Amino acid sequence: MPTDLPAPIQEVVVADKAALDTLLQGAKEPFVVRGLVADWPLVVAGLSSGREARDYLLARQKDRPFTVSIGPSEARGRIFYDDNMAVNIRSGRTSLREIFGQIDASETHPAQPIVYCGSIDMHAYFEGLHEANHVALGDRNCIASIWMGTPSRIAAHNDFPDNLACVAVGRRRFTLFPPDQFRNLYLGPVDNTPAGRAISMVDFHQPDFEAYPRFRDALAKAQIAELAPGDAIFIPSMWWHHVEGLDPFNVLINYWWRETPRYLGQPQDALNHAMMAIRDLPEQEKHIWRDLFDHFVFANNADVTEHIPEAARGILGPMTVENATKIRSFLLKALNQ
Amino acid sequence: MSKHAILNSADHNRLRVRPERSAELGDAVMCCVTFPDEFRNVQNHYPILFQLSPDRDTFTALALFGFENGENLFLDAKGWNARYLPLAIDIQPFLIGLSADADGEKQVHIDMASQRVSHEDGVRLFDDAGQPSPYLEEISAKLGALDVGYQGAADFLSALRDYNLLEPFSLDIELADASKNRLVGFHIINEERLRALDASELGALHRAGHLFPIFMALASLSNLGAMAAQKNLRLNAD
Repeated sequence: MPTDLPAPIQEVVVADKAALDTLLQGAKEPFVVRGLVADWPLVVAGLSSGREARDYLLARQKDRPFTVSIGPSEARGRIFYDDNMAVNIRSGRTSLREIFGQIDASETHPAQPIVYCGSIDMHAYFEGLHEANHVALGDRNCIASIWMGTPSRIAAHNDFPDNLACVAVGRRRFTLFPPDQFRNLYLGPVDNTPAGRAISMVDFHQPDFEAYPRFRDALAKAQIAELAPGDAIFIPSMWWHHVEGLDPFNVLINYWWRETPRYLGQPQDALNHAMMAIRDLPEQEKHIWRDLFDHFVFANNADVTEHIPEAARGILGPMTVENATKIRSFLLKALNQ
Repeated sequence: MSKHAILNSADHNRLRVRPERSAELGDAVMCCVTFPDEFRNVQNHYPILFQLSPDRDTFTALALFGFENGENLFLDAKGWNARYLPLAIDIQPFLIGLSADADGEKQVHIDMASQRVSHEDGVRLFDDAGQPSPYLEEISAKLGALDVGYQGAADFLSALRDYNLLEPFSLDIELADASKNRLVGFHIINEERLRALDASELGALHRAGHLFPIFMALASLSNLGAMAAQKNLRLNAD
């Protein structure tokens, strides 16, 4: 076992909406706000019982099948790979009533199978749920999602958008690492993942330090917090997070947004493309491209454009909507060749 | 540049509008905005495609007339070859104007910079007594339909998103001269996902009035073939 426990995530008190807004602006470090959403009706229902929270949700669902992930009880909530590197959950589509019926039946068993609805759009699948249970985030253009299920352990992964995650039902433990810790987390495959993002191969409950020695270095940088219903956590863009739903029934509602314009491309797409186009080139050629990327993308100093008349800079100029649209259309055509 | 004015019989009594269709009057356009209420009529001639706004935020439904900017394969020297004109084209050079207070009645505006606006040729908007001409009455009704249609479109387009029914679309057209044209940047309805919807989802879409226009949009895609053939014909004629 590691001798030092990870540091606690910084906790802040926010007086009102404006204070939260100020805190979120340009926030680069994670923080926890205790009781931010303690007054949500869903939180209040969940404090009575899991079943009350489920009834509250059922009363507001739209009549359409939900995508649900089912996993074996032996996994003890850990959504991961099996011995053959196949993801250990399978997905189905059925009514929320059916899904919650399964949770009703297994809730009191010591070994619950995994029944998990992840990343469900609050507006597309519920009527009035968001209106009665949400955090006002100003003019940020957010994706609001709900995550519901039995005890779960989601391996450390990261997301590109900023993330405000609110624990509505059940306790949840978050273990966070700064973006640069990816080398020490031993990431798995990029194209075979439980939910679209590469995950750490390390079992945080029983770390195999022989197989993953650098995980000790990651732990030295880790921050941890256990959240109760009503608490919220801010996870900045690209921070790694390992998330455990600790109670027989857990619900999380989260908001994703990006601080940069939405017309910009997805950096992960650029990385994937670079793997295809550049990674397997001869060393010498790769070196040339590294140099070009440094010049045009990472440094992007004045010497890229100062010798070109401003009106003639095209996509080398500021990345406006027009320029982004031009590149998108160019790439679509080029990739289809 | 456009120059919008509130239409009124005092200022615009002698004004005429040229309703015929030609490239000179601004009809050489590749597409125009459309909306579910007119999909049945639109799909009879034109492909209906969807386009994400540049900020990747909202979708718009479009009726397609050509494969590149400035190309309208329905337009020739004699005019516009289709029995139905999408309303967004039909009402030009008129626009819907909001009155100063938000709840007030909407007004008919006219773009005075349009080539269609004339003092000699075309159809009069008002008679000598200042009464609206039958042409203007018709335009007012169309503007009303357009306004209602746009408002209904938002719901429809967000339902397509909620049910994840749109997919990116690209079309390769190889022409008679062996040149290759590629149409990119549009979305269409994903048939597979539509087929995978269950009875409750179809029921909800139907009750909201969205199912019918979904099928109209799908059916409209068969017009792409006719447009490619038209493009080939023009190529051979040149």
